[in-house]
Amino acid sequence: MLHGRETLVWRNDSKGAISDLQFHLYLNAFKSAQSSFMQESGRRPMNSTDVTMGWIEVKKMVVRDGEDLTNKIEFIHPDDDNGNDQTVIRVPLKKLIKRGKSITLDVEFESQLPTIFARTGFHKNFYMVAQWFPKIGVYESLVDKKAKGAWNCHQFHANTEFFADYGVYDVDMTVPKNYVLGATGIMVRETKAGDSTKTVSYHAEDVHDFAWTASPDFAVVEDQWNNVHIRLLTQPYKVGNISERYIHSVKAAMARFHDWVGVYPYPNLTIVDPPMNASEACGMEYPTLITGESVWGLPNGVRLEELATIHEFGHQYWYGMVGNNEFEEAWLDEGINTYYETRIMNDAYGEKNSVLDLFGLTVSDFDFSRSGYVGARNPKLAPTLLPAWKYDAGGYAAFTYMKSATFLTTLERLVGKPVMDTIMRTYFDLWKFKHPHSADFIAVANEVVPRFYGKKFGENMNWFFDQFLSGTNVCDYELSSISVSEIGEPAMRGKNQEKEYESRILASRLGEVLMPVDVLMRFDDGKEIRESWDGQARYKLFVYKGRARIASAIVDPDHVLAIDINFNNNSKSFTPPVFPVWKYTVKFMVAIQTLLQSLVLF
Amino acid sequence: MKLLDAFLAGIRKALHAWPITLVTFFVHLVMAGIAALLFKSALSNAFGNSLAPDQFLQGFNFSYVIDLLKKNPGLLQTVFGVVAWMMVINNFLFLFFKGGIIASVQSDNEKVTLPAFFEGCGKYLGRFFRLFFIAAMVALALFFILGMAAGFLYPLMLGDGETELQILQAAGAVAALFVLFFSILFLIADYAQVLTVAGDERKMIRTFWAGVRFMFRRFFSAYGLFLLFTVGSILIAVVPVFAGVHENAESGIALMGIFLLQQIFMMLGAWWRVAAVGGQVELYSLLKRAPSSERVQEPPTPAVPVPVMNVVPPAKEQNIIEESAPAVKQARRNIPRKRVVPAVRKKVLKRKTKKPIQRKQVVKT
Repeated sequence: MLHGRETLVWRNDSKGAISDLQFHLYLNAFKSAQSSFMQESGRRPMNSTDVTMGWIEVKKMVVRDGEDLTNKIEFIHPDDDNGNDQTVIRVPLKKLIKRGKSITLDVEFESQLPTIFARTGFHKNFYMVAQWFPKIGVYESLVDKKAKGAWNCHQFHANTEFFADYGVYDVDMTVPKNYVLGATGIMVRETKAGDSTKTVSYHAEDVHDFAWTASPDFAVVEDQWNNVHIRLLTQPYKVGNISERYIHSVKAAMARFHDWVGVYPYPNLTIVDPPMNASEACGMEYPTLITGESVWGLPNGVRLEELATIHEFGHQYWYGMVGNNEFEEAWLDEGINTYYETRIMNDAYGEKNSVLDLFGLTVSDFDFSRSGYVGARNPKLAPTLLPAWKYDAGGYAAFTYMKSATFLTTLERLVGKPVMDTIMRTYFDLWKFKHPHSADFIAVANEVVPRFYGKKFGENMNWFFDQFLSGTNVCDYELSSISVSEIGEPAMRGKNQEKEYESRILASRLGEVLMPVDVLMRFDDGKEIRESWDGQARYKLFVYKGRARIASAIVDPDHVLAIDINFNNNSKSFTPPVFPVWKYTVKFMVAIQTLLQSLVLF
Repeated sequence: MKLLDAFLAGIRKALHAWPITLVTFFVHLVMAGIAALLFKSALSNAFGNSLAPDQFLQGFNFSYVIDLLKKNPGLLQTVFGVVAWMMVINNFLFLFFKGGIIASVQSDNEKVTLPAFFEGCGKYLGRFFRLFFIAAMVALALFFILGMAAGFLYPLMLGDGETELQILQAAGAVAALFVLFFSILFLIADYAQVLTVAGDERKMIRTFWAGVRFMFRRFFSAYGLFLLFTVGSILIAVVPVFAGVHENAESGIALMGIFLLQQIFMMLGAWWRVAAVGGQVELYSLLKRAPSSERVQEPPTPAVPVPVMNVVPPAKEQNIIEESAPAVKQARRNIPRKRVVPAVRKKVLKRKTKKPIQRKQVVKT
C-alpha cells in the first residue's frame, strides 16, 4: 500500500478558459475483471488467491485556498460505454481557469500496487512503481484556433500506453532503510529517519511521467557515457556478463542516437533489470528510467537483452522527448523507435546476425521486425494509423511496431540514409518536448525530401504515407516471366549472319501498393540493363532485341522495397541456382542421418 | 576391469563385424538420401526459377525463409512428416538388425559374414518385436510414474524459484531422473535381447525379467559400459553436425569434401553402435562365465580313444564311419553322457537340473 500526497500546479496553456479537470487513475485498471483493460486483455489471473489486485483511490482533492473537490469527482468513460471502468475521473471546477492562469491542487491518495502486472506492481520485495499517482490529462487546443480545446484523457486499455504533459517533478519517497531506489530524474538528497525508514528525494525536469523502483536486493553497476551517468540496478547474480551486455548495448544506442538524431539532454539514465519472476515489469520505458529484460544462461548469440535495452533507450527520444500521443498514434513512438532499434542493432552487432547468431542460425533485427508484419496471419487486417485500443482483432504489435519499422526502412532505402537522417533530425528538433501528430511527421518529410530530390518523388510524400499509414494494402512486385525467341527464319539469314533474339521480361504488381521500382536484366553475354518502372500499372513488359539472350531478371534488385511481402518472387532465371539448394539438402541429409543413428529406442 | 575388457572386446568385435557396419551405414544413408531428395524437391518447387536461393549462399536468410513458408505453408509439415516416418521405420529396421548384430558378435568365429548376419536378423525379429512391445508398455508405465514423481519433486527442488539457475537445476534434476530411468529401461531391453540370442530364449516376458535381474545385479558394470559408449556416440555425432554448421562451402568441391568428411563420421557412428552391442554381449558373457566356472566342476575327461573323424578327408568319411561303426559305438558307450553346451546355456540347464524332482517314496511297513 502506498500513501501519497501530491501537489499539482497546472497552467492553462490553451486559448480559452477551462471549467473542469481530468485525471488518469491507471491503477484502477487492475481493480476488477470488469475494467476495460481486463475485458480487452482477457488473460489476467483474476481468480488466483495469491494475486493482489491494484487500485488507486483519491482520498482528498482540494484547490489550494479554494474549494474542496473531493465529492465532485466522477468517473467518466470517454472511449467506451464501460460503466465499470474507473481509470479516468473528471472534476468540475466552480472557478474557471483562465487562459495563461494556473491552479494548485492538493491531493491525497492511496495506491495499492498489484502483484506485478502489466508493467507495474510488486513481486516479493521488488517494487516497480509506475502509473501510481493521479495523473492529469492533456488539454489540447484544437486546430481551429477559435474552437474550444478539449481534454485528451483516455481510459487505460490492454494495448494502450500513455500520454501526458511535460512538467517538473519533485518527489520524496519514504522506504525502509535497506532498500535501493531508482527513479526518474536525479537524486537530490537522502534523509534517514529515526525509525527504520529513509526518505529519498528526486527531481526531474522536462519529463511527462515519474516512475520509481525499490528493492533491497538490487546490485548497482555504474558507468558513464560522455556526460551521462548510467546506473544499472540488477540482480546480484547477473553482475558480470549480463550487466556488461546491458552497459555495452545502452552505450551503443546512446552513441548512435547522438550521431543520427540529436543530443540526449538528461544527465543520467537508470536501467532496471527486474527479477525473473517480475518479468511483467520488463521492457518498459519511463523518462530517464527504463526496464530491461535479461535471462541468465542465455548464450551471447541470443541478443534479446541488447534488443530490449536499445529499444527502451530509444524511447527516451520517441516518447520521452518527442511526446506523441501513444493512445492514438502509437506508431509515432513504437514504429519510429523499432526502426531505430533495427538500425542500431544491425549497426552494432552485424547486418545479418544482430538478434540471433547461434549454431549457424542467424537472424538480423530487420528480418525479425519485417517477419512480424509479413508473417502475420493477415497483413491487411488493419491500418497502422489506428487508435491502439481499436486493434480488437489483434495486430497492434504487427502494425504499430513491425509494419511501421519496415515502411520506414523502405523510406530510408528510397531516399537514402543521409536524407532519412535529415528528416528524423528535423522532426526531432522541431518536436522535442512537444506533442506531435502523424501529420507533423509527414510535413517534415514533405519539406525535406523535395529539398534533396526536387519532384522525383512527386509534389510531396503523402502518397507514401497514405498507403502505409491509412491504407491496409500490401506491396508485392513480381518478376513474372522471362522468355526468348529467335528473330527471323533461319533460311532467310545469311551464312555468316549471327542469330538474333527477342527477349521478353514481364514484371507485375500483385499488391495494391504503388511504388517506384527498378528492374535489372542480365543477358547471356554478361551485359546488364537496369530500367526504372513507376510501378503504377499492373504489369510492365520489357522487350529487347539483339544477339544476346536474357538470362535472368530481378525486380527491385537493391531490396529498396523492404515492405514487399514476398522476396522470393522478385526474380526469374533460366538457370536457377542449384548449389544453395544442394548445400541445404546436404545439411538436411546429415542431420537426418545423425537422427537415425542416434534416436533408436529399443 | 570386466567393464574395460568388455569395452575393448566390443571395439574388437565391431572391427571384425565391418560388413554389418557397412550395411547399417548404407541403410541409413539411403533412408536419409530419400528424405533429402524429398526435401530438395520440395525446396526446388517452392523456389521455382527464382534467384532467391542465392540469398542462402552466405548463410541462413530469415526473411526469405519466412516468405517461403508463408507462401508454402505445407512445406514444414511435409518435411517433419517425412522425418517422423523415417524415425519410425528406422526404429523397426534397427530392431531387425539387432538380432543379426548380436548373433554375429557373440559368435567366436572372427569372420562375420552377411548371410550369417541376415540369418540372425530374421531368426530373432519376431522375438525382438515382442520384447519391444513389452519394453514399450513398461516405458509407458514408467513415463506415467516418473511424470507423477516429477510433478511432486519439481516444486520441492525449485524452492522459491527466484532465479533461472534454480529453474535450471530443478528442471535438470527432473530431466536427469527421466534420463536415468529410461536409460536403465533401454539397457534392460538391450540385455534381454542379448539373453534371447545367447540362450535362444522364446519366452520373452521371462527373458525381459531376466534382463531386469541382470541389469540390477550388474548395474555398475552395465551402466558404466553404457556411459563409455554413450560418450563416444555423442562425440561422433556432434563433430559432423558442427562441421556442417560452421562450414560455409561456396563450391561444389568444398561441399562434396565436407559431405565426405561427414560420411566418415557417420560410418564411425555406425561402427560404434555395433561396438556398443558387442560390448554388451561381451560383458554379459564375462559376468555370466565367472560365477558359473566357480560352481560347476567339470569332471575329468576319461582317457577313452575317440575316433578322430575330422582329420579324415571328406570324400572317404562315409566309408570309414561305416567300416568302423562297431568301434565307434563301443567308444560312445565309454563316453560319460554329458551334453556339450555353450557356456551361456549352462546356467539355464543347471537351473533346470539343480533340483531334481524328489519322488515321494512310500515305505510299506
